[in-house]
Amino acid sequence: MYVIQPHYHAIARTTEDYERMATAGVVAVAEPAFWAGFDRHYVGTFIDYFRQISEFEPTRAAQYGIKHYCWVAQNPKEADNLSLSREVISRLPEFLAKPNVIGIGEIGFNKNSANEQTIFREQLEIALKFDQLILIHTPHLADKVKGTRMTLELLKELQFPPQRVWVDHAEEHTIKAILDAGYWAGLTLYPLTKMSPRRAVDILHRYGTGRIMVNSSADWGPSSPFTLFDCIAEFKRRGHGEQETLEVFHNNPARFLGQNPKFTIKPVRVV
Amino acid sequence: MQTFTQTLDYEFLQARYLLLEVAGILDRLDEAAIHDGGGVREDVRLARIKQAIGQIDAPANQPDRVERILQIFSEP
Repeated sequence: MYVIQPHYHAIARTTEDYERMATAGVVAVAEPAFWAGFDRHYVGTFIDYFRQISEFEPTRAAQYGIKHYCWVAQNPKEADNLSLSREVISRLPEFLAKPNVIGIGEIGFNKNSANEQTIFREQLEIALKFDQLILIHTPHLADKVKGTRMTLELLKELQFPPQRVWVDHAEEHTIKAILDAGYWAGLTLYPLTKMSPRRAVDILHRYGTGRIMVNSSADWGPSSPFTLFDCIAEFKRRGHGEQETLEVFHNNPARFLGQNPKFTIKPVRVV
Repeated sequence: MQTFTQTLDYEFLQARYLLLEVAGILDRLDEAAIHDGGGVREDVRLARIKQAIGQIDAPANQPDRVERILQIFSEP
């Protein structure tokens, strides 16, 4: 089994994760830039963070034969600080040139505030200018429907090429609008709070597997990269064969992320 | 003992998650029944599940919902 973890916050995880993921068949992870659990005060802190995920983490993953890619961005949770956010995003182009940086993300909304929208728009404009993929975070709980609607309106207004857009943390009440608009949707699995592996398989049955990627929550909070393997087991338990499983858990991320030529892992066929 | 607000703060996401899981199970049963070409099937196990769901929000003078639901799933 070959698996790609398309949304993995390695900076918050131990090396044991890499070891166990390699054993389970993970061939690549992609690490979006995100909130550190507290609001940072200095642009230099972000720059060192981007250096860590673009320079250091690839070396840690490589010890276990896993390819590490990353995204850079000002994340939505810290986007309310306009002046700091603008300093951060002014530095993104230098990181976009690095060999394992494959796009701009996570961007989007957290509390659906006006400042978040401003920084989201400015990062979308940079992504358009530099021809980048984007990874969009949608709010997790009561704010999700409104935040998803605002996201789709902004993308439409900017005429962002839909094939380059991944809207993440979709659930049953938001995925149809995302797919209908032509974007890729992400399902993020959690151990005991939000999307579960079984519900994710329900969604794959209901909407098909065409433009859906499944990822584990894997950060500093209650989360586990192995929820992805719970989902794989459930998908197979419901009768899906090896190639169908590969299409969802390896080939779809390879197709989306592979739009950036730096991502060199290709879809595979085993049957 | 934790306060009501502390308890709700801790339990809210768990309750939301577990309710969605139960709803997912019922959706799966409905879809499977439709796939089988018929309506929702009569089955004593499904009847007990629905009876138990009714007990979750039933008025209670004391916290004994779990015990009442276990009685539903018990032989008389």
